[in-house]
Amino acid sequence: MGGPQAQRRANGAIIVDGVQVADTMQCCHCGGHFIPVRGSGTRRGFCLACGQVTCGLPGCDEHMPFEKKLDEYERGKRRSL
Amino acid sequence: MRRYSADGQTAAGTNLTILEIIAATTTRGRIYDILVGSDATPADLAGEFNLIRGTVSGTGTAVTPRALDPADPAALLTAKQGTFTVQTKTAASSLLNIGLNQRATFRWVAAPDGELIIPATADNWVGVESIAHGGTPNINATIHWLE
Repeated sequence: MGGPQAQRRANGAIIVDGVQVADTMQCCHCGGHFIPVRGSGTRRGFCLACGQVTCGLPGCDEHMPFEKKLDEYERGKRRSL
Repeated sequence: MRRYSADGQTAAGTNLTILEIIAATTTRGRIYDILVGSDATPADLAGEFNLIRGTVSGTGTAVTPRALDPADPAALLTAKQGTFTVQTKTAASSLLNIGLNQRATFRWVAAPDGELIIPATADNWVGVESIAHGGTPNINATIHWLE
């Protein structure tokens, strides 16, 4: 198992004591960030409609862009993000 | 967009919120920089922190956000720190999980469009939460956001 890898399209960076130690990727369905680690065994996903990675949580498997979720939530059509 | 900063501190513990950035109904907040560290006496203690969402900000100590550009007006979003009561946290809403030794200082910076978004819904918040810690050192958190 390797450590965190540099990502070509990172959505964020983690810096510990002034040194960048990892990149983060953002789930296109929940907006959360995670550190991709090759070989970690953690389940991640990819949304073909969004063309972006998902965090892999079951609730993020269905195509539902985070921006759309936000709109629905702010209009009261969705109970949680 | 305008940039603002707020900081807070509280002793680490189990599921204790350190700092909340609370929504305004007129605009969305976009968190782009988070710093977590400790000003306590250095010790090798492991801690776990999360960035989480909530729907009721509860009772805490108000923090006045500072504009990074002094020419900007006061922030629309608000902030609270310290010990919270009557808070509502959204289950399974971790936006970023942080494992951190007390001796280290952590910083997360978003790439453009990678910010954590706070919905424009009253009393919703995103905050830094101490999930678990090997001790009870003081934890300092700073959040920068766009609005």
